[in-house]
Amino acid sequence: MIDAIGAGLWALIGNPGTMGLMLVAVFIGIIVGATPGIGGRLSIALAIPFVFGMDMTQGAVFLLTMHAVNGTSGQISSIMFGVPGDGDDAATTIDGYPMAKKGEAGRALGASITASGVGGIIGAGVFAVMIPVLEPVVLAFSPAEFFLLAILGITFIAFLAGKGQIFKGMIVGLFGMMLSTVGMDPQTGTPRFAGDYLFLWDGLSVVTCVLAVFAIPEMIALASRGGSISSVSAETASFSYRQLFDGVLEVPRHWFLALRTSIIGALIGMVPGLGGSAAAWMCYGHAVQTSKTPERFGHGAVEGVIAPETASNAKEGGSLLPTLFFGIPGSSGMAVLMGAFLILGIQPGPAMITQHLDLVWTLIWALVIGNLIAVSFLLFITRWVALLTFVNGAILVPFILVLVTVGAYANEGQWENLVILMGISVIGWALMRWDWPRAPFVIGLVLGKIAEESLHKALGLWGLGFFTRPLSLVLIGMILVTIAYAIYTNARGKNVMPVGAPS
Amino acid sequence: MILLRTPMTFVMIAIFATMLYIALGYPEGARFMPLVVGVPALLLCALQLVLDLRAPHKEHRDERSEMEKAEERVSQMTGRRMEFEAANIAPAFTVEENQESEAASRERAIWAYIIAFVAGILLLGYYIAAPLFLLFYLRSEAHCTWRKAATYTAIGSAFILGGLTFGLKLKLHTGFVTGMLLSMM
Repeated sequence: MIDAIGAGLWALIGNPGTMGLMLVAVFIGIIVGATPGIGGRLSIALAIPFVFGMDMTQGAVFLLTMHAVNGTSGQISSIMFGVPGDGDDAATTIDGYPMAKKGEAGRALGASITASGVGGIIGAGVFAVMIPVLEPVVLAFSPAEFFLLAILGITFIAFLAGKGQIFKGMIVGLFGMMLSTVGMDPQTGTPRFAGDYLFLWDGLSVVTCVLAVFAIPEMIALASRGGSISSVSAETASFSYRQLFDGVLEVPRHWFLALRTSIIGALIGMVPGLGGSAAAWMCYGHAVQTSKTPERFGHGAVEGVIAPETASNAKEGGSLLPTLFFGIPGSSGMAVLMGAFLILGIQPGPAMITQHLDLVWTLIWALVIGNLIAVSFLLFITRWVALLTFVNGAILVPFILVLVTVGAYANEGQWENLVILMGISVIGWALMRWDWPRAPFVIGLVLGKIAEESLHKALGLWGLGFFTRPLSLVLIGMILVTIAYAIYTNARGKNVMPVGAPS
Repeated sequence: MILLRTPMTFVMIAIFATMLYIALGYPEGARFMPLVVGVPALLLCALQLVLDLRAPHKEHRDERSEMEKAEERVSQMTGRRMEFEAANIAPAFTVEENQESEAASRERAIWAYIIAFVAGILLLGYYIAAPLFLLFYLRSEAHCTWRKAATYTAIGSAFILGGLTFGLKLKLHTGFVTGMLLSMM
């Protein structure tokens, strides 16, 4: 283990090329995070064409770093202008914006940027601590459990899709799984749903499907919503570096809160489907509950900025755990990342512990160092990054479209993927239009092949008796409890999520 | 009428039913997974259809702002009445979003643009279609001046296409028509 920790760090800092790429990833992540209309998962999807040809480690470090620092710059507009970039940042607005209105924008920004960085680093630490704990569990899993884990993953994601969405989520997840069966059947060699189209024999490209379901519908929404900034208040927040530094010091002053919310955030991240907004809101609630002066919250309490920021960034480290070791993406952002990992030749699963532990440690170090760089960088350039808030998202649409099509085409170098992109985009758009969750689709698509392979292996080894293995029974129990609880909450009209929807 | 109320459920039923029908024609081993996935999916679709039909015709619209909703939910979580100042302060800027009808017509326009763009790439290739379509969109949809649109197009094309072709050595599609013309020359 110690060797892997050292090798992981050396693979990062001992390679100027990788470090250079990481700096580029931090810079792009910051810019993209502050630009309205481009979320974390879209930015990963757009970056995919740029990692073709990179080696496994460099590509993974580049994408993960970009994804990890995305949220750090996202809160700038919440604090300075009261306009949250996305769901994760809404909780920060509650106290951040009143602070800015009181002339404490710098303090709020300093606290939020530092808290976000600290959260990211502690989240990576929690992930690292969990490796030796989870190692025997991961290695104890046989093909039977991996099949059930895939089903549990979809059930979880569907369950967390929100009120009234459980069945929709499961249907969409199964749709993803169904599409994963397109192509040559591994058992009989029969081309399924592929006809005479040879390009379909290898199956549908995960990247093309992800871009179709997420990127194109988001772009259509961005372009059609349109809109322009109608009025900018004359007193938009201004601040000094002294104020910013004072804000930085607020995090060590509230170190215990930052530590607690980071750990909570990382643990929430480990539950597939619970997005950053859930982590942020739960930790905001925790900060209120544990404060001796809860009445200050909502009126500019700095703890109200620290808690959600640490949590929403710490969850990235946590969500990496199910993604890498079980092949179950912790969030839809992680699902996109996992698709990209597959392209790079990284196969999530137990092999990550047995064969690629140094790569896992490199990714953990990338989270730590990436967050450190992002915080130091952002503290100096915040006021300029804030200007990106005023970029009209609609102008970005044609450029994003070029990147999306390149991502779909360059993956396999086949023009047919552009046709597939259009076809599945229609379904992705329809899902968005009629308020069906889209994240389970990607999870189902990614897990489908693993599930099929595991199912065949399990049936070959134990026949139908694999359902009665002790670990299988535990997983079956969890699947049934998840479904039963979702049906119960649905019938009672409760939302399974405290506030906000999962990302 | 039912179809209008719950179109997505019907789309899913149609997709699963078609795929299952096709799968039934495959050898036993090949149809196993599609059946394992498709049959439960169809059952879930049927269940969803029942839920859709039982749901009230029009969902009650919550007119409260996001901050007001957050106030209520954090109050529920913490067990104390929360009042957020941000709920009463106007943001530093507001974004005027398009009206529903305008958004719908823009949606159609952007779909047409995307389809035309992909067709353009297939026929003319990236190096011709991408700059042309970028320029067209920036001028007509984003309402940039010709000069601005041309500048953005040049910078964007150089960065994206140049970077991918020369920096990352990616081979981009050259287009069927362009390829044919080039081979004739």
